[in-house]
Amino acid sequence: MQECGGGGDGQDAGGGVRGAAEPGVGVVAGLERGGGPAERGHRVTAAGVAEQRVEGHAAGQAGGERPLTRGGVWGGRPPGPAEQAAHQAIVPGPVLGLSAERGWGGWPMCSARPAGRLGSMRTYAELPGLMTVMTGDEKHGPSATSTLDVLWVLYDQVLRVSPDRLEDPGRDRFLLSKGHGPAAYYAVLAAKGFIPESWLAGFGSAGSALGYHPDRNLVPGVEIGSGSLGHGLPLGVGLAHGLIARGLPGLDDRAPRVFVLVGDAELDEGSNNEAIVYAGAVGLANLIVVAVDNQSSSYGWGAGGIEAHFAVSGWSVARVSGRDHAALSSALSGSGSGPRLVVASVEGKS
Amino acid sequence: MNDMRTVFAATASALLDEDPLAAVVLAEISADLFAKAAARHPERVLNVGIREQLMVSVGGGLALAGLRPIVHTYAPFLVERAFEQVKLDLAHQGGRAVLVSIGASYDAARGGRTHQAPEDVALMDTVPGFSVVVPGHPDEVPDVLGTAVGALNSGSTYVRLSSEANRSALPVRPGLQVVRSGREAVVVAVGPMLSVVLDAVGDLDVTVAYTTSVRPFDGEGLRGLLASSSVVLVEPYLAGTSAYAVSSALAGRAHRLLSLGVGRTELRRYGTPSYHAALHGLDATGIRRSVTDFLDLS
Repeated sequence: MQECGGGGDGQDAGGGVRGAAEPGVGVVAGLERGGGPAERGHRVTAAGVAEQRVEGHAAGQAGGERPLTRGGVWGGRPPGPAEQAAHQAIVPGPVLGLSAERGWGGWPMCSARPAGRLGSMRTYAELPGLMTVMTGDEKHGPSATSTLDVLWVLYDQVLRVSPDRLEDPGRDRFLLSKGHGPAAYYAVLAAKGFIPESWLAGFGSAGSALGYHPDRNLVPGVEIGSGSLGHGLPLGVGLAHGLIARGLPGLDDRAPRVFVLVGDAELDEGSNNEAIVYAGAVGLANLIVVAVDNQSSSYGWGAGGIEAHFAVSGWSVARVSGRDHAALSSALSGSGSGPRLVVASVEGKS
Repeated sequence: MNDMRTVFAATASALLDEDPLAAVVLAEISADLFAKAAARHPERVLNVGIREQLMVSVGGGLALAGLRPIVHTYAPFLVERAFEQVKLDLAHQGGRAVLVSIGASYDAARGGRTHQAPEDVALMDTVPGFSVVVPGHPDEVPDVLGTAVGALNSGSTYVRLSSEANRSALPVRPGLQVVRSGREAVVVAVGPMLSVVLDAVGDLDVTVAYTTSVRPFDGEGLRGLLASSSVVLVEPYLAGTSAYAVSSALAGRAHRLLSLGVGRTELRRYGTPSYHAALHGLDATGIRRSVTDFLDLS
């Protein structure tokens, strides 16, 4: 049986939580209540992606809107008996069961990850196509792609983490605090080999690991489950402290860093303010926040912008275009004596 | 005799010395008690200021980094103010921590409603993966804390400390302990309610069972003790908090249940903890009256 997460040191919380894969469990798509062809459900394999893509489009046209819930795949509840039975009817092998250890079964599709596919890295130009597999949309508006360039630059040029070092305690951590609209995130994770591309087609469906808000216990490479705003930065403060306390040598013998992506409107949440003032005061130099600013906060941040609120608490700050890969890479790679903020400006929501 | 909070701080400080992955997160409360430990372990004793949401989230982040965090402050600020952080930044992430509160239901009787949290155990009961332990005496705290930190490989624990205490300590065990035996009912006394329960039932022909561990609740132990059909729960927090646990344990048996605890009405009174206990019917007189009425012994 293929192990999902690799070795780890047994101390990392993720190492204990994420268990071995269930053999023979594939990505299941199409148990949504939206009706249409997707309702029949079928197992999606790497070879079946093209077929699913076509069916997904048909479902989108015939079945109307997807059931979007804040709670994700199961609407915030575990699968009920009918859903488990439906799942078992589709997927031979163990049902994704509730367990105290791993929610409802850890990473259910790990063993479905075809190792050969992981070697085929995608380019930036291929990301929109991967997003289309998830959303069915041929074109992606600014709000769907506000984070796309930042995510790509982080995983392509900045983060010291890779699919074969997922449990390495010295890896850099990336926390997607703004868990909404994660299609760009999943596309980048697939492009960089953290998850198989065959998972993308099942986005948001029963049995899929990829929900409308990500869950770290379901998706390899995802460091936190997010969705409720204002949790990633405070968690990042604790994680940054913890990595310092453990004194771990990072990959390439450079101490591991914690990157947190927030949205400008997410900073409305007061919990962020607790973290901003505290992290600046104690000088957490291994903490880097990237704020994707699409001017969506109703009341904004005044003349000085987001960066003024961080700078007054002792953060070093920079503002760059959220579409300029070279500028993003340079700003995100900077280091100093305290925490760092990079504001990535993108177009406003249309 | 030191109170539970002082014993907790000493025990946690010793754990920090012994265990390089243990950590303590504070929000000003009790920071003075951890001053020496903070000087020895500045990277593992973190006082985040008056920021309880951050305190719990930092505990969650430390857990993600592989540490064993102990997170501590007053009960209403730990459980109620930062509840979504408990739910998401610990439980949902799969991170584990030991949460240790002080203040209980009305230790701060003089402090008023803002510093009282009789609802804490009911709330923590909704969070998957948490055990709940309510020690009844300061001498029980070292075992309770050591067990909770030792259990972090399998789950989190909420430890509810109080300035109220029984006259003497009992061994800390995971289930019900029989203190005295009788035939008419089983009276379950949780944590610091034991001494007052023993005073209340005096000459009544009832079993008194003591427990510090309320989640998981020892249903099997209760079934084994039940000679009649009557059960009385005496909990130092919201009345009925463990009623469903008893109902579940006795689902296959006809039974009667009396749930005693703190009432839901906001009293808007100050005074002493013993005054509040009497107002909620949790002094010896009140408990005796409730039990004799329930058993129709009056």
